[in-house]
Amino acid sequence: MTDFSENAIEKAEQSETDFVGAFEELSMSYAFDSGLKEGFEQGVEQAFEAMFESVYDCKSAAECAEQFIREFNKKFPKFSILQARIGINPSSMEPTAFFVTNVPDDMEDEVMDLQRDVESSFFEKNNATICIWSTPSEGLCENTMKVDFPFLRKAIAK
Amino acid sequence: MPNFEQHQSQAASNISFVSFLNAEGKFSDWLLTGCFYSAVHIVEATVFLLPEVSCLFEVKGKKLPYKGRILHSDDLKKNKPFNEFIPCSNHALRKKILIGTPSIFDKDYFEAYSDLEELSHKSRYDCYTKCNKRKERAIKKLNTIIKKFNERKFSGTPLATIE
Repeated sequence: MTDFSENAIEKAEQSETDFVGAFEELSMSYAFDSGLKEGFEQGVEQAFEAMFESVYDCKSAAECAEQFIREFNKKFPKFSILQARIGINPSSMEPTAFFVTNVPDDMEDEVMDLQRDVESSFFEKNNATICIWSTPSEGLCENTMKVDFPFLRKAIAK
Repeated sequence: MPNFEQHQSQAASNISFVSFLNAEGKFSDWLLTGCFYSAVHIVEATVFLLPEVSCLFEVKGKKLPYKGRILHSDDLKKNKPFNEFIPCSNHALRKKILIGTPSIFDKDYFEAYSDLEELSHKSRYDCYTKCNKRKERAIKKLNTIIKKFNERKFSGTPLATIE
């Protein structure tokens, strides 16, 4: 039997208030999350600009990458650079030029020798420390590479 | 922070780990990482004893040279010699010292260290299983660094090279 006593009505009203309160709290929580997401995206943009345009000399990294590409084409005329990325290596925060090549595994040594030569000679000429890394295309995990060098695509797009 | 002896002892322990893996013929990927961290401690031990190091930073388009005494690579960041925020890891600082102080760390030294850093990173993230050539290269480069360290005749037992 339904209890329509004043006490019951009060309880019902209180329950409605609780529900509204809980709903508002939940809404605020969602609002906070989306604000956080939006704020974070803006923060990433600003940090990106600060690093690439104010702190790091992205131009030097691009010049060093070009030098490597020229030397690579001379030394390995039969092979190609399949991908080239310039960014900041997140493990060391160094400006890095990163290449994926189709040079076979047994010649990887020669590519690494060339990388070190270009790094050293670029520093001697330009006083800029740029890190050059490469990897053979075989066994390459594209997703890992994207995680390692997430910034460059934006830098180029600008 | 570790002193010279502690870095030297850690380097010797890491080299011993590398020798063990090499003899076992297993886990070549971790052998590469062991080689890199042996080199890290050898460089840090050397830095600890040097009267001064030099290096060059580029911040906001300005070239900022540094020359002075430090005990550890990351002192450069802690001491904030330029009153600028330097978003740089200890690994990057160490490489700046290596390339910026050629009277101590010559070209072969810098190239060997850079190789080991790259090989170690690749071995951890690339899931690349054909490591034999990389292993040979890493051991050769680590031996280069060990020999250069021993040539300076620091105190303590010389570090063993890897056969």
